[in-house]
Parts: sequence; structure tokens; C-alpha cells
Amino acid sequence: MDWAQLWKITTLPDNIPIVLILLLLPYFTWLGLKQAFANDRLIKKLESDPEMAKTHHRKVEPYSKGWDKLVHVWPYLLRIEFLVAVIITVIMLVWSILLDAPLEEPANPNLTMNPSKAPWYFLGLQEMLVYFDPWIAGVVLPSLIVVGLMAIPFVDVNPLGSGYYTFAQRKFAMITYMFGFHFLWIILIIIGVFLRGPGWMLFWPGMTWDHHRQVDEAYVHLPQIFGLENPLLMAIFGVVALIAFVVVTGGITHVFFVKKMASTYKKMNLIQYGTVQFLWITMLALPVKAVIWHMFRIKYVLITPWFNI
Amino acid sequence: MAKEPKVKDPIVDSSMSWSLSIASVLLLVSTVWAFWDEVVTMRPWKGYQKTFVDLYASYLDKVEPGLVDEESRIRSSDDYEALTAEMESAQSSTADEVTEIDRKLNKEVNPQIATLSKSLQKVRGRVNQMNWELEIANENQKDSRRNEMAEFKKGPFEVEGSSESYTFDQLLAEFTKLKEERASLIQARANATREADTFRNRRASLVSRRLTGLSVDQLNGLKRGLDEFNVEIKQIHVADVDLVDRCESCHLGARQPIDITAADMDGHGVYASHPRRELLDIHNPDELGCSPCHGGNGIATRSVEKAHGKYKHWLWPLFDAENTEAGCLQCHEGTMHVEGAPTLNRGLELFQNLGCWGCHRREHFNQDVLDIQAVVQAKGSLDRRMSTLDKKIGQYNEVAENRDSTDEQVEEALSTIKKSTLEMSAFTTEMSELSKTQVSLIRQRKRPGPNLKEIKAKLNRDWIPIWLAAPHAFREGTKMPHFRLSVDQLKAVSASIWQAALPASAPAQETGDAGRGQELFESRGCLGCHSNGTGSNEIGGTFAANLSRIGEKINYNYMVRWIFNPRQRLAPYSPALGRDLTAADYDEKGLPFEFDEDNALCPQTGEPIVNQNMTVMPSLRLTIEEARDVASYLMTQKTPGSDNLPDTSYMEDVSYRAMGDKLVRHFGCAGCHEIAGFELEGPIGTELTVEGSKPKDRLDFGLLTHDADREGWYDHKSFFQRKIGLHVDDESDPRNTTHRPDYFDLGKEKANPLEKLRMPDFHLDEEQNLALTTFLLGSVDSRYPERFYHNPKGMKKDIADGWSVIKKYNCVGCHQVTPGELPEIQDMVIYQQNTEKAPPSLVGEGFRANPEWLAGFLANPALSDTNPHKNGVRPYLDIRMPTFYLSDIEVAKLVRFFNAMATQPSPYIQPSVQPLSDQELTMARDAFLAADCLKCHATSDDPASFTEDIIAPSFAFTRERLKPDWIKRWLLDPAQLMPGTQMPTGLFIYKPDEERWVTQDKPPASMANYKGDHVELFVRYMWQFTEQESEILGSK
Repeated sequence: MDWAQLWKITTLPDNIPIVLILLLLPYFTWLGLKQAFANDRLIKKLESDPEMAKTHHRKVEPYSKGWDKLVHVWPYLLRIEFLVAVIITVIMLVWSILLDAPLEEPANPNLTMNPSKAPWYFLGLQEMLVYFDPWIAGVVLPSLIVVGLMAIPFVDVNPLGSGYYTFAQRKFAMITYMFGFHFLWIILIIIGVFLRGPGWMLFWPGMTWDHHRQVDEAYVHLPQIFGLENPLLMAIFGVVALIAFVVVTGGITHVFFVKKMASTYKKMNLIQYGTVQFLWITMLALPVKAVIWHMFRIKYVLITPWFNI
Repeated sequence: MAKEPKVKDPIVDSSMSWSLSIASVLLLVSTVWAFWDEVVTMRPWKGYQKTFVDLYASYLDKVEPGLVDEESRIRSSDDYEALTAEMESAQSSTADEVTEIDRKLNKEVNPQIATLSKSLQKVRGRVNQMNWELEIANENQKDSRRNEMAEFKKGPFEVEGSSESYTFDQLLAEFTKLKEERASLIQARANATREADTFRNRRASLVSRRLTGLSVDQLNGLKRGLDEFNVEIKQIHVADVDLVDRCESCHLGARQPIDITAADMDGHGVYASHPRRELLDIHNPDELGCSPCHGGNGIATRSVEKAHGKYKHWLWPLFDAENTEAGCLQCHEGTMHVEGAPTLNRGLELFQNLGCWGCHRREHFNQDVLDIQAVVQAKGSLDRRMSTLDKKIGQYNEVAENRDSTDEQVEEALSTIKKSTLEMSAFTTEMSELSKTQVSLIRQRKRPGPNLKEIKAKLNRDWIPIWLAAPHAFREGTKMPHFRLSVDQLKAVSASIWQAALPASAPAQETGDAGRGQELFESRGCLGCHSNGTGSNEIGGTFAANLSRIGEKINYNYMVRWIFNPRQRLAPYSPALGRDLTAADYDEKGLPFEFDEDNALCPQTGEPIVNQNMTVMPSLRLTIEEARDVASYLMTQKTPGSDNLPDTSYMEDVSYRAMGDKLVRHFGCAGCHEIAGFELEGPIGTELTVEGSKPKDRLDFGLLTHDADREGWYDHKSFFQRKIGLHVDDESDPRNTTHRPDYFDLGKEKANPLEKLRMPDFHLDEEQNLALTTFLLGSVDSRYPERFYHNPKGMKKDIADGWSVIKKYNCVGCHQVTPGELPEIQDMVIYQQNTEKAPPSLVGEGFRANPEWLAGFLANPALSDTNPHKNGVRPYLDIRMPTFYLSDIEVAKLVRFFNAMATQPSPYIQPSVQPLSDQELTMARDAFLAADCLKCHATSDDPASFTEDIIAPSFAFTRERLKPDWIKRWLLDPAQLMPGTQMPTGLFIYKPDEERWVTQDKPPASMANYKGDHVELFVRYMWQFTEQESEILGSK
């Protein structure tokens, strides 16, 4: 166990935000979910007790009779925000006093550092480059992330959940968000920060980041596992495999929608539903590819002269 | 909603005062902290400056009394008072005159000028304006304006305090007259006070010269400066390089006018003054900054670590004190001798002498090979042009000779042929010049190791593997490094080089007299470079091999030949053919198998050949008998029991050859040695020209990278120190295991032994390791503009070039070249007791010797074509100036070097010396005899004339050899030119009234009426010293 290496990575000024994410993200997720579940219970209560719903105007717990149904922004909201602003300012001040900007030596075009890492917030993208070719990981997927985020208002047919925490009323949105952001994006960043060493090799925590480390990285393409070597056949096989993937994942999503979220499903038109399906399938492609990459050493599924998947 | 709520509303009813007030306090505290951090923590130099002011002030208080005492002592000294008295008497003698002048100046002339200029100014302004208006006026207005101005100039103008009125021209004339009067008065005053001023200046310089530190005034000035000390960043900004050095924000004492040590400042070394102030005079920090020499991050002021650049991201950390001289190379590249940098110079010298450049390319080393390549290329291109031209001439010849050609065609052809032939002859000249240069370059090219083509004739075969296995065990301090060869490799390499050697052997020699040989060995000058004996018995220089076990390895016959003339080869090598020439090659062309200096061309190709061994070892011009004696003596230098060496018959086994050749190539043996078939091998190692600025990541720390990083030695210095190896006598010293060239192979699994690090072990000692590390640290890609570089021109370049030759041939092993640096050999008892027996000092050689003569002497130090077995100038010395077979280029470099060292103008124009009349000749001859010159000096070149008493050069060469100015200075004060000389001082005394030098002793009768300068007479006499004269003197 190379504690010195671990300590060095964790205490690097660049990595402080990631260490904070490790602690804060679970905490705030827990806090948010706790409130959401509390509200869900309240919603249930209110739905079963119309009398109570008449007097209970605050959509959150706890609530007591006699409290004002509405409170003013000033002072009740702003004073809290002000307090938070002060505390954040203190934290930023102390942080900036204690830690210098992690500047390094002047850039040398003849010398690339190893490992050569993007800023932490881009490490997810960099990690994706391991699994897909640059055209997909660097252009298509990031564009889809932006396009997908932009599409949310147009595909979100659920009017509930505005202004309060809830899980039950926005199950799909919550799951999608937590899968896409927490699981995919943040996990990829953490892998990029803590597990990727020299040569972008995977180092488990506690392993020495040894520049001389040698790993056996003989990867094959999926069609080759099935004995195909002819490029055309390989491409055809790849397309078939991709279609199979789309059918299977799309089918599972479809069943989920129809059975668990019938009301939402009914409200969506074909374009909306198609968009959601497409984004979901694409999102799922990343973990699936990562798994087959690591488990079966499969480099690409579909190989064409223009791009690989 | 009047009803009181039972439960308090957490939003409305909770008070946030506490949280807000705590947060506010925290904000306040952190804001204050931020300010504190900004103003104090991040500016540690403020503290440094305050402490400095306190310490320096109290130090200045302490130094004062001593200096005051010293100063008052000087002020009360006789010299000082005598000067004061003289000054005062000079002052009083002219006092009246000065008072009168002052009165005139202050009471008359100056006030008059003042009043006059007041009036003049007003009028002149108007006149100037009118003049300008006239100049720009229309043609038809000019006359009227001209008149207007003339009218105005007539005035009349009043002058204050005077009843008269003036015209403008009168005013101007009066003004000029007054100013002239003032100037002459001031001049007169200066004349009157000049004498007194001279004394005053002399008195002042007496004080400043004798006072080592500062005067009281200067001290007070410093103290006043401290009172007004500003706490601020002290920075040097060199705008064109964008260099900002703030070093002096903490190192405040660096440039104080007084020497400050750490002890003076309460142990704070940071305030000490620059330890080598004289360097700052040449390298003005205001123009060059600090970090260009020292390294470090000049801008950083946050902490010592940051400012010194000793952190991961600063690529140019401060050099450690011991390596400071590495900084010189930043700008002083391309010279073998940087003045005042002994460690660096030692590093340069080691890099050269150990032959590091044999494997590692390094700019400015092994330049000869590159020069030869350039010449060969130039010759090739010239050759192509010549053959094209030749063809062209041929074609036109055909045209000219063709009967069908018209007259015009023939005429054109003939004129073209004429032109082309001219061009051709220019090409031929150029070609022969290039060939000459090539011969010179080939001759001056040396290799660090001996020629292995001759080992069959030279060595005891059984000894070779013993040597290869552990050269340092056989000969401590040898420059042959230790290659980590396995038993098989050792056998293969030995067999390979043995089989590659020439089959020839040296001619058989009779045995000589070892006793006489020892005498010769110790007196002829071998010890200038070679040492002999071990431990405390070791004598001689360290430049070349220690010879104490030479008898174990060498064949007697070859030894004789080598000592007689080490440059003599068994067979010449032709670079053009790429092989050694044999007698058959010469036979084919009907030439004798001779390849001495005069036969430096290949009989087959006509191209220059390598006709000398590439060794720097010179010939001492011993006779063959003497060579046998010395060789016989050296053959006795062996350890007992060394005759029983293991059998090496495998070296004749040809099956080893292929593997051996591969290994010879792999280990770069041919980098230093001449080996048949490997003459053209290039360097096998990393280029080191900018190794010191190579990114750290590219230094191969192997598996030790992480250890180095964590243990704090992941830097260039530690890498070099370990890589070049170190051997300390103390066995327990851990550096013996870490400082090894193969250290960075530690833990590596390499199945193929040839993948291991090849760098051999030179068994460097600490001093050598430090010097080479310093040199490598300094070998960087300079970050500074050319303006910073030391680009010597003229004499400085001559000196730099000369040093490379001097170091190459170890001239300094015997001769003193710079004042203060005595060669090692002169520590020997015989030379200490008898300095006249030591090799002459060459300080001031450029002033002494005629450069043309010097060039001839360097080429042939015997100064004789018939008898080479002697010294040319000083045949009475036992030690002998050897023949180095210098190339023309090297001779020229040396001559220019000595010229430049003595700042002599170049070219040298010999002054004409007036010949003596017959009468003068008689006088001079008599005076010469009277002065006993011939007691020590010889008068001819004939060795027979050198008796025991002769300890000075012969007059026979005076005219060609010396410069008349030097002879004169030498006659007047030899001790000043050459301290410790036996030439008596005070032979002449000066008669101021007659303005001439006369002999100290009573001059001979014939000179009684001679009114001329006696020294002059001596010089002129020596100038026409002929053999005839020598005989006349001899008879007397």
C-alpha cells in the first residue's frame, strides 16, 4: 500500500474540489432525498385527507396549524441566503489564503506531462475517450449532452414537482438525473482523478504511479471474437450488434414506461418519446461499453473507415 | 388568525442573530487574516529588511573605531604631513596671486558680465525676432526689413550703472571681451593652484590607498542611508530580456561597499556581501541580473524555497554553492578556460582529457573531426566543379581544333578556354589550400586512448584481459574507465581487438642502461605529465598515465620506439580508402614505405593520410640510445610476481571475433581508441550539450524515480553525481554504492545483457565528481539573448583559442603561463633549489619573443635541423622542450595566445635598431665583457660551449628571438619581469641630469667619453651579435 502516493493525489490543490465532491455529493443527495421522501409522505397524507389539504398550504413538512401559509421573501428567505453568502465568502477566503493556485512550470511544447490531465470538470469527457474513438467521445457525445439538456423542457410533460422536493412525482426525472450526473459524470471524474496514472493506466488507490509500469493491453474488436476479419463483414456485424443493443435497451425502457409511468407515457407524443428513448439508449451505451471494454477487452463494436463505436 | 400558535414556526420565529453574528465575526477574522497574509506572510522580505537595518547599523557602529584609528594614524604619518606641508607651501607661495584673481573675478568681471547680459538679453531677443521675420519675409519686403533691423541695432541702448550708451554690435563685442577675460582669469587661477592641488590629491589618495575599508565620511554616508532605508522590493529589471531579479530584497548586503560576512551579521549568511566582488565589476548586476548566473526564480519573493527555485515547477533552481561556477557556462560557452572558475575549468579539462566526448557529443569538443568533415565536403564540391569545368574546356578544345568550325566559333572557344583555365587555376589553388588545412586538421586531431592497431607490437597479450577487467586495480587514477564486462564479454572484446591489430612488430632493440634511463626519465621532463611510484612515493604530473607498472604490460622494443618518437606509426591510415596502408600500396606506385611529416598524402588517392599516432605525447628528441635507456628503466617498473598471468590463448580464437566486434561497437571503444575497422564510429552516448537543461522527466532515473522524488534527490545534480560515479576511500561511505554509473539499473530485469547501462566507471574522486557535475549542470540551453554571451573577439578570442591548445598538450605541466599558477613539476626539489634549472616561465612571453621566431621555435624547439637532441634556446637545461608536432593552426593559435596575454599589438613590426659604428662596437664589447654577461650567458649555439656555469640563453638567437623593447626592460629590471630570476638587477643606474642610463660599475676606459645611453648601446650590440662576434668575445 503506497500511502504516500494516495496522500499526494488527495492533497494536490487541483484535487481539493474532487475530494470535496466525494463528501458533499452523497451528503446533499441524502439531504435532498430525505426531504423528498418526507414530502412524498405528506402528499400521500394530503391526498387521502382532503380536509387537511384545504388548510395546509405549505407543500413541505413540518407544518403546524397556525403558522402563516405564506411567508415573505424578505426577510425570511434573504436572510438565509445572506448567511450562506457570508459563510461561503469565509470559506473562499480561507481557501485562497491556505492554498495557492496550482500553477506549474511554463508550458513546453516539446514535453507533454504524463499523465496529462484535463481540468477536473472535464475529466469525465477525457475518460470517455478511453472507450470510444475521439469522434464519438469528443464530438458526438458532448454535443448530445448539451442537446439533451436543452431538450428537457420540451420532453418533460410532468407538471408536478415545481417548488418542492419530491421523488414519487418525478421518478423518471430523478432517476435519469442521478444516473446521468452522479453515476456517469461524477464517477468518471473520480476515476479520472484518482485512478488514472501515467500513461492513462488504471491504478487502484494505493498503487504507486509508476511510469515504468507495463500492462498487457491487447484489445480485440467484437466481430473478431466471432472470428470475423473481413472489414465489410465486421461492419455488418457491428451494425447488427448495435441494432440488437438498441432493441434490447429500448425494449426495457419501453416496458418501464408503459408499466411504471403510464400517465406520463400517455401524455407524450411520438417525437417526445422518441427523443427520450434515444437519449436514454445513448446514455446507457457508455456504461455498457465500459463494462465490455474492461471485462472482455473489447475495443470497438462497430468499425467503419469513418468512425468506430 | 388571532390565535396564538402552539408550535413555533422554524422559518418565521427562529432568530438567526447568533448564526449571523458568528458568521460575521468569522468573515471579519478571515478578512483581517487575508490582509495580514497579503502584507506580512506573503512578503517575508520585509522582515529580512528590518533585521538587516538593525544588524547593519550595529555592525557599522562596530567597524567605525578601527577605521578611525587607522585613518587618524595615516593622517598623522610623516608622508601625510610632508604632503600637507608641501601643499601648504605651494598654496602660500601663490596665495597673493590667487586672492588678486579672485578679487578681479568676483568684484569686477562677474558683476560686469551680469549687468551687461541683462541689457544684452533684451536687445538680442528683439534682434533675433527681427532677423527671423526678415528671413521669412517676401522678397520685396526684405530690404525694408533689413533697414529696419539695422536701424534698431544702432540703438542707443543703455547699460545699468553706466552713463554710456551702446549700439548692439558694441554690446556684443563688450560681452565677448568680458567672457574671454573671465576664461583667462579662471585658467590663471587653475595654474596658480595646480601645484597645491596635486599635493592635495596625492594626500587624499594616500589615505584612500592605505585605508582598506571605508573612510569615516563614507561610513557616515552608509549610516545616513540606513536611516532613510525604505522597506520595499529591491529589484533589478533588465528590460530587453524581461528579467526581474528581486534577490536583493533579502540579500541586502550583496553589493554594500563594505565586506560583510555572516559573522558580522550575527550569523545571518543571507546578508553577507557577494563573496567575489571582483566578478560583479565585470558582470554588472544592473545589466545582467543575478539569476542568469546563479539560477533561481528571481521574481519570487514569497519564501526562500520559492525564490531559490527549489521546487518542482521551477526548471532553473539555484546552483548549490559548490556548483556556482556552472552558471558561467550560460554565457561562456566554447572556451576551455573561464578565468576565475577553477572548478568549472577542471570539469572542462576532465571532459576533454577523460575522453567523455568520445561517446557523448558535446559542442566545442572534438571539433577537429567536424572541421575535417567540413573540409572533405568542401573538397568534394570543389572537385565536382573542377570536373565540370574540365569537361567544358575539353568540349571547347574540340570545337577549337575542329576544322569545320567557323572563325567566330573558334574565337569564342578560345576565349572561353582562356577564361575557364584561369578559373581552373583559382580552383586548384583553393583545393591545395583545403588540402593543407586538412593535413593540419588531421595532424592535430587526437584521441584520448592509445592506438589499438599497434597492440600486437606493443603489449603483453596476457595482460590485456587483466586490464580490461579492472583498469583501476592495475593503475589507480587511469583515465581508462571500467566497463562491467562478463567473463565471456571480456574474452570476446580482448580477442576482437587483438585480432584486429596490425600484425607488424617493432624492430628489435638492444638493452639500455636502466640507471641512466632513470636519471633521464626524472630530468628530461617526462614527469611534467607522467607520474611514477605509488602512494607517498608518487612523483610527477597527473596529466598522463602513472608508469609504476608499465613494465608488466609493454614490449621493450615497442617502448623504445615509442619513447624515441611516440607519433611514429606502424602503418598509416587512409581515411579516403578507409583502411590502413601497407608497403604494397606504396610499392605499387614505386614509392618507399615512408609516411613521415613530409609524406602526408596517400600514394593511391593523393588524399591526406593519418601518418601519426593520435596521441598528445610529444617527442623529447632523445637519441636512440637515450630512448633505450629510458625504456630499460621503465621495463623495471613492475610489481613482483607479475609474470605469471593466466593463459590467454583464446585471444587467437577467431570464433570470438564476431561477438567481440559487436561488443567493441556496443561499448564505444572506438570513441577513444583507434581500432581497425572502427575508425568512423560515431559517439554512442547521449549528447550532453544541453544536458543540464534537459527536462527532468527525460533523465533516466529508472525504477528509482519515486525514491528520488520522495527522498529529495530527483534533480539534475543528484542524477549527474550518481551517473558519473564516485569512489571514496572510506568503504562504509554509502556513496560508494549509490554513486555508480549503473546505479539506475537497480532492480531492472534485463534478459539481454547489452540492454544494461553502458556508461563505464571512471573511478572519479570527489573533486573530479564535483567538477564534472558542475560542468554538466552548466551545460544548458541558454535562456538569454546573445548580448549576454561572452563572445570574445580579438585578443580575448586569441586567449580563449590558445587555452584549448595549452590544455590539450598540457603546456602548464611544465610552464607557468599565468601569474600565480605554478606548474606541478616545479614543486620538485631540484627545481625549488635551482629555479634556473626549471622550465622558463611564459608569463609575458608575448612581450619577450618575436612572434615569427616563436612560431618557428614551436614547430622545431631544437632550432636546428642537424642536431635535434638538444634544447634550442636553453641547451643548458636538463629538462627539454619537446617537439609536439603541432599543426600550423595550433602554432598560430599559440603565438596569438602569447601575444594577446601580453597585450602586444599584432602584427608585430620589428623596430629598426641603429647599427653600431666601429667605435661603438669596441665600447660595447668592452662594456659587455666588463659586465660579466658571459659568466652565465653562452655566445653560441654550440653545445660544446656550454659549461657548468652557463645558466642563461645564448646570445646567438637574440636578434631573431627577442624584441628590443623587452631587452631594454629586461636589462633595467629583470626581477620585475621574471621574479626569482638569477639575472642581476641594478646593472644600470639612471642619471636624471643627463637623462640617460649608465652602467653601475665604472664603465671601461673606452667608454669614458661616451655620452649616449648605455642600455641602448647594449641592445644595439646584441642586435648585431654574430658568430664572428661570438668568436671575438670567446678569444677575449
